Order: sequence, then structure tokens, then C-alpha cells
Amino acid sequence: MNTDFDAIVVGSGISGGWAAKELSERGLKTLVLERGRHLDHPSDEYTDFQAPWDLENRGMVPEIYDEQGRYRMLKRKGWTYRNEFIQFFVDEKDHPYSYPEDRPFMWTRGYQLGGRSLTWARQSYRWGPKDFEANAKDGYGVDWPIRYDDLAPWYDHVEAFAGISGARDGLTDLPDGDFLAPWEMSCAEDFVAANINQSFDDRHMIIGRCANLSETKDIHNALGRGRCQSRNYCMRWCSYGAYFSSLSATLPAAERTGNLTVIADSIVSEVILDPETRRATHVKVIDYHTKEERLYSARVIFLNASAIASTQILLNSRSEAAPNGLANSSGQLGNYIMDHFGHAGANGTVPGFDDRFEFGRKPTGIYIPNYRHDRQEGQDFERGFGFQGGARRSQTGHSGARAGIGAEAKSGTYDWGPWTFGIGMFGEMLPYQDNTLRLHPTKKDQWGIPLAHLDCHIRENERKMIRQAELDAAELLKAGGCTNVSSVRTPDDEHVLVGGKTHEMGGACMGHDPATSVLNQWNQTHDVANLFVTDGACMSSCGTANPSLTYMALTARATNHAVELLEEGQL
Amino acid sequence: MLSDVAEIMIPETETVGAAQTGTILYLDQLMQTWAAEATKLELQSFVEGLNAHAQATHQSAYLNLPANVRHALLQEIDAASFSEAPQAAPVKAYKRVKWLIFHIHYTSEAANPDFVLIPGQYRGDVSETEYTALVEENRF
Repeated sequence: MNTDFDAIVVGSGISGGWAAKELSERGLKTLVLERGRHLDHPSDEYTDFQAPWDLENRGMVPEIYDEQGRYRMLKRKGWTYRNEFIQFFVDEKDHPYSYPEDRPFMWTRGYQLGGRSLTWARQSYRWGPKDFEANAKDGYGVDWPIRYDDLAPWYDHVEAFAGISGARDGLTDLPDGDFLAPWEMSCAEDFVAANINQSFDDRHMIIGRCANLSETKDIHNALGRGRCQSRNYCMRWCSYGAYFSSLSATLPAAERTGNLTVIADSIVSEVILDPETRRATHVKVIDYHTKEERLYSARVIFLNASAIASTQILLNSRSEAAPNGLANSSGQLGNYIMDHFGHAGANGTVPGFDDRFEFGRKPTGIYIPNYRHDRQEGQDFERGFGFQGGARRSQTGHSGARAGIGAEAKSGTYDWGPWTFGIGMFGEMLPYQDNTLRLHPTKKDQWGIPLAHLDCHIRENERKMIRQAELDAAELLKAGGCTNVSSVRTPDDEHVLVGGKTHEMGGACMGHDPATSVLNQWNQTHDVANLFVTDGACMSSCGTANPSLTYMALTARATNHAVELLEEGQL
Repeated sequence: MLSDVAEIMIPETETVGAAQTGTILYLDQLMQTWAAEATKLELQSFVEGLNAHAQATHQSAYLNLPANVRHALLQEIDAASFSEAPQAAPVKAYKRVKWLIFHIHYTSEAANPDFVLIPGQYRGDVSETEYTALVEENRF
């Protein structure tokens, strides 16, 4: 088997798929290494054509997992703990990680070809100019070495291929793109959005922008991707390929170039450095099943294993020349771990639409982008938060959990109730140098790799945001015309689980200065010129918008730069 | 006995009841494929508890009681179990068994004649007449 390639991509999720596509299309013989199992598209692991009565155990996860202590974090996550898609999530009992007992961290993973691109929420927003300026403005973290204008053409590039539905809303802080047709708001969402948009100058409720094909273009048809059928069974996976993922889009695009090799069941444990040339020459792989070690070589290496896993690989790549981990001359590798946080929101009733209904299950809700970039009167915290949510026509459900039996109870089943509206915050966690990922000093996984140890917590700035977001959420829904508005938030003394939003970022942050950051403006490690990191690890701040589209754009931009360097003979 | 309980909880009316949806047969299956030991023991304790309660209140095994009395007995247990003092519930695990019966029934094919697997479109503002027509057109 060939073990020498032009490029190696570690990981096949959202950013790894993009690296594979771009590098293959530019003519590089590209190897993708995935630690999980191979998965075809479509696959017999998909359950998207199963009706409720076809689902194994009617969707209930086997209780034996409770007895065995399996999938504890996934169960804690709640809504993702369903039997029909549990196969796309990782059980931390098999793949442990570590955290201080009093500060648990939630690391949700998917070990299969396509990684978490199979289970992401598909919300796709460009970050705005203020997001890239935030660190410089308030001094937290390290200044981004790029600005929005550097990334804008690459947002164009990835949006066209992925297919992002959305409206051109004309908001300065949330730039528009070349979108597919937006999903329609429900009548209740329309009503609330119109009221909010009329009540505030700075707060806007828009339809969520998402990577589900509301229509198809030639670029999608060429890959056999079909239009979204409004099933909202995305987590079960989509046989139509209507939502963007590595499996449905980037890997097939890479495959058709003839330049792609994919090897699954291959756990990358470290990247090997030639101390003479200061180039990364190989990646070391441990076979998932046999635990046999193998080496693969390439001229350029992209780490796309996820924020935590890529950082973990670098930390584990220790040698005489890099005793603290590869690309860690700054000592900043593993610092500034971030995630979005929720923990505040509001619910209300939308009056006046009791004779109106929705048909179909649209794959997105509404979005209220961050309106607190700049400090407002009375605001005592940095950065800000947005809200995501939506309206639905409530139903009574069955009577299994309330009093009543017999014909009477049966007649009150699944009766229509009023429209209800719910929104939850997405807060920007500041980049704290001492929110860290380290290798556990003694504990290792079954492949002999030291466990990732995550020690992260939110601080007073985030607590202040949560308190403000609760007030704002209620104010927004009231201004939107909702009645019976109630708000919630997590109490100040309760631990906020970092990682809960599955938007882990940081660990190998981009920056201008090799003394204070790990990556340069091209996602290239300051220390090792042919080593790039383009997943969430590279993020210097976390903004408030879902980050996947930004990973895609950064990856496409970085691969273009790597190819240019290769063509110039610099790598 | 559980079949009888399920039929009383969800009788056949203008729509199917628990007997038609094979609810207890599926519950039996779940005991093999899904339930932990604790849940199996809960079901067993429910059956024993119901019989014991029937003996204590009517001096008869549950299944030997007339249909109207069995119905009344379950209604009384249901009310007590969902009261503000659920510790007064006369039969252990009643709420859990009830939830399982309702969940199985209402996720069955026969109980979901209007289920739409592939809507094919989203419309956010339709009248009840339009909604009914769309369901009719697209039902599974």
C-alpha cells in the first residue's frame, strides 16, 4: 500500500472534508485519515426512512446503557439521546477524556467517516467584521491576524458549494452571502419577527440560515444531492444528501478527482518532525482494531480532527526538538479553549393564530444575531450574545404522563394548542488563557494515547451575560407580541458545562506573533511551515454565531495558500 | 392482565385501542430488547401490586372482577397516582407502566393514520382545511 502522499488530512468532518476536496481538486494526491469506521452514503446505518413504529425500541435507547454507565454525557445532553442516531455519537466509556471532578466538560464526538458533519445543526452564519476585531478591541485573547475582508471571498466560495439557505437581511454585523431561497417563517414567527423588528433598531429576528438545500443548483445536482424534503430527520442522516456534510458533498467531490485516498479506523497519535528541516514528515497512525502502528508521509499536513483532538495530537507530538508538543514554541498550545454557552432564554404564547397551521418540518428556526458587540448603557460585560429558537403549534401529546384513562383521556390526545415561541441564548465566551487542554499525566486510552484533560469554566463576564440574556429574552418576546412570557436562567452558583453547545474552539489559536500564538494568518503553524490546523482549534475568539461555516472558509483559504506555497517550491 | 389494563386505559373508540395496536405484545418484546432489570422488576411489582390492591379493596384477584369494577379501580389508582400526594399511590410503578403503554400505542402504525414521513415541502401558514388536504395528499 502506498504510504507517501502530497497531502495528508487528519479527520474527515466538516473542515477535513473541505481540506480533502480543495487539495484533491488542486491536483494533490491526498490521504484522509479517519479514526472512526468507514461509512457509505447512503448507508444502512441511516434511519431517515423509518416511521415511528419502525424505529428499534420505538426510539428509546436501551436501558442497559444506564446500568453499564455508557453514553452518560450524551444522555446529559438530552435531545440527542435517541436510539435512531446514537450510532453517530461516541460513548466516552470507550473513548474517555478527563476533567476536574467539580468542572465537567462535555465533549460530544462522532467517530465515523464524516465525523460530526453528520450531526451538526447546520446553522451557517458568516462572522461579521466586529467578531474578528473583538480581541483587539477589548484585549482578551490574541488579536486575530485576519479580518472579515480576508475571509469574505472564501465565504462566497464555500457557500456556493455547500448550499446555504437564507434571506439577504442587510445586517452590517451579520454579512449576507449568495444564499439559496430562505425557508419560510411560520405565521407565528412572521408575526413576532415583524413586531421585534419594528420595536428595536438594533435587534433583528431573521429566518435561520442553514445548510439544507431549499433548492438545488447544478453544483449540487452534479454530486447527486437532492432538495430537502422538510422531514427534519437530519440527525438520522439524510439519504437525499440534502444537507451539507463531508459524506454527501466534499468527500464525493474529492473522490471524483481521482486524487483521494481515504483510510478509516486509523487513529493519528502524533505528527513527526524532522529536526533538521523543521518540517513535519510523517503522521503516526494506530490501527483502531489491531493497534498496529503505521507511518504515512506527505509534503503538507492538515490537522482537522476537531479543536480538542487536533490540539491533543500536537501536544502528544513530543520530541527532543519539540519537548512540549509540536508547534508549541509559544507555550500557548492547549490554551484559550472556548465554547458558546446558553443557560438563559424565554418562552411565550403567540396569540391570534389558533386557526393557522404549519405543514412539514422545516430544518431551521429563527435567529437574533448579537446586538451587543458595543457596550450599551448599563451593560457591564464584554462581547454579547444572540438567540436561536422558533415557534411551533403546541399539541397536548398523549395522556401517558398526566391523569386520565379510557375514552375521555383518549379524546384529549394530540389536540392542537396555541402557538408557542421559545428562544435560547448563544453567548460569547471570552478567550481565557487558563481555560486549558492538557495531556493527562498518567491516564491513557486503549491505544496508549494520553487522555485529553480539559479544565475550563466560565467567569463573571459570562455570568453577567446570562443574567442580561434572561432579561433580554423576555423583553424580546413581549415586544414580539407574545403573552404568558416566562424566562429562565441557570443560577449563578450552578456549574455551566463548557462544551455543552458542541462548539469547542481554541487550543491552537491564530495570531500575528509566534511568541503568543500557534498559527499564523494562513492557519499555518508558526513553527512548522508545512503543518496547518484549520478546524475549531485555530479560533482566536468564539463569536456568537455557529462556527462551522467559518471553519469551512478558513480551510479553503488555507489550502489555497498551501498549494501556492507548494507550487512556489516553498514547501 | 397487562393486556386488560392497556385496553381499559386505551379502549377502542372511533379510533383503534391498545388491543388493536398490539401494545402489550410490543411491551413484552421491549422487555427483551430494551428494558433493564430494574424496569422488569417494576413491571412485575406493578402486576403484583394491582392484584394485591384488588384483593384488599374487593377481596378478589384483579382479573376476576367485573369489567366496570376493573375500570373504576384503575381510575381510582390513576387519580391517586397523579394527585398532589403521589406517595399515596396504591400501586407501585403505575405511572411508569402507564407511560409505556401510551408511548407504545401512540407510536404504532395503526394509531398514526395521518403520519407524514416525507412532507416534501414546508408551509408555515395554512388553514385547517388546507392542512388536512396536505396531510391527506402526503400521508405515509
